[in-house]
Amino acid sequence: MRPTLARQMIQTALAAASVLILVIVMSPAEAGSDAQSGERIAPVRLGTEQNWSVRLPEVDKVVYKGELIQDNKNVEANGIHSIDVLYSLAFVTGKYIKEYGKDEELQAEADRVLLPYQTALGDFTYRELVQRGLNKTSVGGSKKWVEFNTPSVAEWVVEVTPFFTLTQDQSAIVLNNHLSIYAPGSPSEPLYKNLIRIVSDPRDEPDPAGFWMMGGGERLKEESANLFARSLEIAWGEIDSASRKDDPARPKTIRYRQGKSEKTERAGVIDMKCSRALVRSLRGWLMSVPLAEPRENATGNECANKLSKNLH
Amino acid sequence: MFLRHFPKKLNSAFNYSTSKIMRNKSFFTSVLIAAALTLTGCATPQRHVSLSESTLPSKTQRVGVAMTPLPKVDMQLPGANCLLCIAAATLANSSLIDYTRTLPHEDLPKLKDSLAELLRKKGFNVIVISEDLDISKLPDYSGKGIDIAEKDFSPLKQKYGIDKVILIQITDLGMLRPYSTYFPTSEPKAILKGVGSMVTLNNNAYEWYMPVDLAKGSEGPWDESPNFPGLSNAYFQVLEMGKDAFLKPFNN
Repeated sequence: MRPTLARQMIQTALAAASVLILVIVMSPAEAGSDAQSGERIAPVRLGTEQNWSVRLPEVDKVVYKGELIQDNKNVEANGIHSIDVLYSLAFVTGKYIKEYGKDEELQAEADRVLLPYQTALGDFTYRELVQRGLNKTSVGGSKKWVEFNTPSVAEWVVEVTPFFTLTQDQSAIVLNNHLSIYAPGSPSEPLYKNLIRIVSDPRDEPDPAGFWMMGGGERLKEESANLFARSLEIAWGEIDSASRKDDPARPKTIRYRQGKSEKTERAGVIDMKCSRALVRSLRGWLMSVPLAEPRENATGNECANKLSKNLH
Repeated sequence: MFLRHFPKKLNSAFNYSTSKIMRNKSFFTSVLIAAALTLTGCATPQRHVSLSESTLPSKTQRVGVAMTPLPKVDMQLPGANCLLCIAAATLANSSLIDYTRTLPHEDLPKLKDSLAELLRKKGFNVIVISEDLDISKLPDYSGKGIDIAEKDFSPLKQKYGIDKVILIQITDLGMLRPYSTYFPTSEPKAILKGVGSMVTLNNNAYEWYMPVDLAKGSEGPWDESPNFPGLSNAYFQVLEMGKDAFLKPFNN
């Protein structure tokens, strides 16, 4: 057999096999990754006589990360124009090998922004964070935290997995809190489950590390606890006013500040006051963010409230 | 080495052709060089021209702000070259392709109004050319030179009574996933590509020429059929980034 012919036959066979594999492997996944996020529920109002607990995360120390900054330049727009299947396969394999572990490298680089805060963060536990946060919430009756492994209790339980991100300009903190709320007597099926993201108002400080670390990192811890408390209140608010979701706001593009940079998010606006917006992202996540163009539509007293002023 | 596998007849035919080609080697070399020169000559891209105080229109000049017709929002699969590759890539991304085609232009058509408003605030005499400007229908410009537009924009001077035209040309909008034959080399990203330019109608020269090439990936997973929330968000983010990119030079 002619070598060129043999080569063409191998390539065709490889191509056919690749097409089959690609069609099977690369068909977009039908199941959304957060199918249960923010799902519709019956409204529940937690009365002052009802107690609730926060179940601590499995790990002990509060997780902080440095903000990863994405590059928006279109570096790969042209594809790789090759007609050789073997070359393409080698190229793609090489590329994936080269990029394996790159995310961890980038995160490690981004985490360098946390170096001035290590002394404060080293002993900051979820017990302390949750206790500080609970002290700042006014929802329901008495509330406490329970250990991760504590058996189910006959009251409302909120499972939380919060982690914080410090912006690279160190002017703001972002909380991502995956939480699930369990009704009394239903320890296996959450009544509500969602990711709540809160971006703090940016601080314009000439020495941000000095500002956050004042009093042994007290400001950093207090701001983190503010964000955490607000995420609990937003979640309870969602359960309380679940009927709102029957008529979801038409999504629009919101511009907000994350530190000193401007970000955008396509989302439905739930509420807007004190220069902040509470929005529902296209994934159903809830986000509380400082607006890029502040709107002054709240009374002075409303915005003067410390929690409202900082977090809405 | 390959020749020994060939039948004798074919082998002699191959030798004859080869010797003939070798005799005409100089001719083929000349043709190749000429073709290369012609092709590279045609492909010389317009260089980036920054906007400066000296090139901004004077307050007495009238400036027209126009946009070319917006492209359809669609998905591109560059690098999937062969017919089978295109079929495989299209099939693998069919759900995203269908979804991408449903995405709106949002308020992108109003970008010329935003730019005009910005210029008016700075005291310039601006008119908005309401209809889409199809530059492919303009005649070619006879003159050649550095920063001279290939198309002749001078008819706009009479038609709209303007001295300069600022043109926003968005050429690509939607999603892009690069391929190498059958294999994707990256996850899909939302894209916006285009060019912002300002042409002086007296001499058809670019006084501002700025290519825009933006891409934004999904935050988190992208393969969330049927509504692709991560990529949808990236699409609307890239629209905002694009609008900012075209307005920024006039904002300083």
